[in-house]
Amino acid sequence: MDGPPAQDLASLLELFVPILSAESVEGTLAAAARLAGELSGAPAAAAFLIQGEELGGEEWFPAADAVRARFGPHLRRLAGDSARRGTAVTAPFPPGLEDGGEPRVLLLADGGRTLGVLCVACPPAHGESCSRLGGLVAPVIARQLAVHRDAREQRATRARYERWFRQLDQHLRVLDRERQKFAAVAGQSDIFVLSVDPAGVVRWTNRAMVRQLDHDSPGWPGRPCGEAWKLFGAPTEDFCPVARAFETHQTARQEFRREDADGTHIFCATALPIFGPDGRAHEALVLVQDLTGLEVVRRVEQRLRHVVSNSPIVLFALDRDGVFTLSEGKALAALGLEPGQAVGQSVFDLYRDHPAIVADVRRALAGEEFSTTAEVGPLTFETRFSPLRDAAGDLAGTIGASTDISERRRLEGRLLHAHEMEVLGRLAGGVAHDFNDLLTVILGNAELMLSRVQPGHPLRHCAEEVQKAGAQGARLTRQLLAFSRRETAVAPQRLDLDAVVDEMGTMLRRVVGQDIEIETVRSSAPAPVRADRALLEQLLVNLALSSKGAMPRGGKLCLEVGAGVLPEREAGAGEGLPAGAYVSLTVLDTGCGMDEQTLAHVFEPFFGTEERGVGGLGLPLAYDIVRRSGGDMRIESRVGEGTTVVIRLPRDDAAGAAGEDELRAAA
Amino acid sequence: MAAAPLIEKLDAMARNGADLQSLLEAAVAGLHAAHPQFHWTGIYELFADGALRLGPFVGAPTEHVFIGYGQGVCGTAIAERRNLNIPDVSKAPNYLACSTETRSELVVLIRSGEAIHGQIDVDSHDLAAFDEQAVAAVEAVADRLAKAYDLHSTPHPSS
Repeated sequence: MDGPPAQDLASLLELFVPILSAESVEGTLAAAARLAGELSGAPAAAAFLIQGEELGGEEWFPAADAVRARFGPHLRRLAGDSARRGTAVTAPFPPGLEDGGEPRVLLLADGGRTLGVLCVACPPAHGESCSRLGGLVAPVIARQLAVHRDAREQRATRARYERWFRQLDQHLRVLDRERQKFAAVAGQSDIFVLSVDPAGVVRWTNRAMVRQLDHDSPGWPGRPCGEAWKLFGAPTEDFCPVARAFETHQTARQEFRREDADGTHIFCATALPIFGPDGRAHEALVLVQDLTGLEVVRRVEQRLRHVVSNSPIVLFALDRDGVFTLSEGKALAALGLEPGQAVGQSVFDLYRDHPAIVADVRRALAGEEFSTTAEVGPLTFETRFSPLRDAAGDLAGTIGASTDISERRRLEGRLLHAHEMEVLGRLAGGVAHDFNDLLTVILGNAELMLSRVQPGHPLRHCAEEVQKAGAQGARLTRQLLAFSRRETAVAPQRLDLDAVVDEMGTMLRRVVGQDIEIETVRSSAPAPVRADRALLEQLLVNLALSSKGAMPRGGKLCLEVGAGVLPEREAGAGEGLPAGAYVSLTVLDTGCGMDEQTLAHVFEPFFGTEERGVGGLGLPLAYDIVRRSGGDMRIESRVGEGTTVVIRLPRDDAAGAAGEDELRAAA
Repeated sequence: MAAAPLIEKLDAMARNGADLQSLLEAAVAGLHAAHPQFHWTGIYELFADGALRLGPFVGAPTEHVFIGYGQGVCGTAIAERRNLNIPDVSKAPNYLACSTETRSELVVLIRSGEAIHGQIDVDSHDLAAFDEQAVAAVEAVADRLAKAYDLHSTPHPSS
């Protein structure tokens, strides 16, 4: 017999029942494998599902693992190749599987789409029945697979929509919360909020906007937004930041003022484009804010800040930890700080090298209120600390105002020195006056003696020495009287300092002697000063004598006349050289120099400077002359390196021919 | 950051019978947490009508719950069937402004062969935020989600 096994029609139909009644793809595949196997009497039959171009699930008949293990690799390969090529591919079983007969491969296609592959190990005797199997059973199996596929896709789509609806529901809840927040903020705000569409029509407003309307007035929605600008008194009809926001897709902001009986109102209108999913602005949200109150506060703050930042003080505040919360004031510049620069920094870090300041701050942070002075480099600050308390009255830090009192200290020092000089001068003047009377007697008698004692007489020399000493005493007395300001009448006139130095050159060379070389350097510019000529000459002599004392073994003395301008900020307050053009005289020697201690007292009369050869009055007198001429005098010196004296006198800029005539006459 | 820990977590969830929704949520949450420069991370699922609909996401709520075929970077990725890494969205002519803060965007398709299930969309406030490592991590997670889709549903014929 080479026909199929005997089956009656009823039996055949029964075989289809499992396929038709299967509720899943897997069930259909299992029923198909079973049908194929039983119809063909095959030792193995397998139904494969195709997903894409690859095999998906598979079902076997018989379902024994041993069958699957023996025939699976070959039949699975055939099914895979068939799926990829879209046509039935078959090949004989390899050696050892001859009992499987000939592999038959059937594509399970529906509607032009291959959904599965049916593979049967067909015994040679059943070849024809296997072939018929394809034509008879395969379309039914394929149809059933398509039905299940469609059902599965429908379920997947439904699941996908269910997920989408869940997502939408969540999203709506989020959006509703956002809407509520927006409504609460916009509704309760004093800021005027309105929504405008691209045509410039108002679509929505908050309550603040509604309150601007009369009770019987129709609402805002539907009105042109220009009506809103009219309401706020915007300046021109062209004013519309909304249009700009739509044009530029950017936030547009514009301030405007309204003048009315209540005064000036300042508004700021801000239009924010609201974008739709297509990226276009479908509406604009407009915020109109009344800045009038803020503007007042801003102006007051600006004024206050201006006052503080230009005050010649340092105003600062520290929190409990000593961290600057405020640092303002013009005096910060003297400390090399910008306003606000110290904010955020700890005072204990900033002034870690100033233990006195740190100690003061600790006292202040403990709640003490006090005033103190502190040295910061060359500067002296006077600071008033006050405790800073919060609203509850608890100590929150300290606030302080520091004043730079460096100049005041310097002036106080000068004043003290001037007082000392005045007292000393008065004393010296009194002594000199009385001593001068005595000298008159001494010199008169010495002269009388000399007129009566002939040359060669043993007492002649004594009388001469008395007269010589008396003359020296008289010179000293004149200096003392000059120092006391009682003797020398000041007769200032316009002088060319270059000319004075030139004229004095010969005399100075005689004063300092041959061992000292004198060099004079003229100013490159005219050097007119207003001074008493006699005093100026005395000044030069005194300085030359002082230098001579410092150069016992000879050396070089240089007198250089120059000119310059003293800026306002460097001019001393009250005393000293005023701001403006000046003429300078620099006297430089190569002598022994002075140490710091000597230098500090060099302008004090009779301060142990005999070696400088002016009997203790040379430099004080020189200083006095310069000050009386409106100038200043500075001495720089180092032991072994010589001394430099710099004198600055106000340049006399008397204009016109009169001044020039005076200068020529003086010369 | 490597995606291995997240992949392991997704596999463990799948073994324990987690449904697709849970896997999608875990994927976006894991990616978002592992990459500080990811400021919005979400999934758009592809539907039969060719539209993308918003799935699970982490970040600010977006108005783009629905994106048409070919619209914006996301829709373009579907139309061109390829991943897109946009280092500067201001230079992308078809960019849909999701947030004014977004500077760069990455779209990675969730696909099984030729079948596309959806996409992972990531926005960043930084320019050129997505380097090779970040892209590789998102791609690995997208592959894993594609397998999950295969298990839970048949890819849509239209894809």
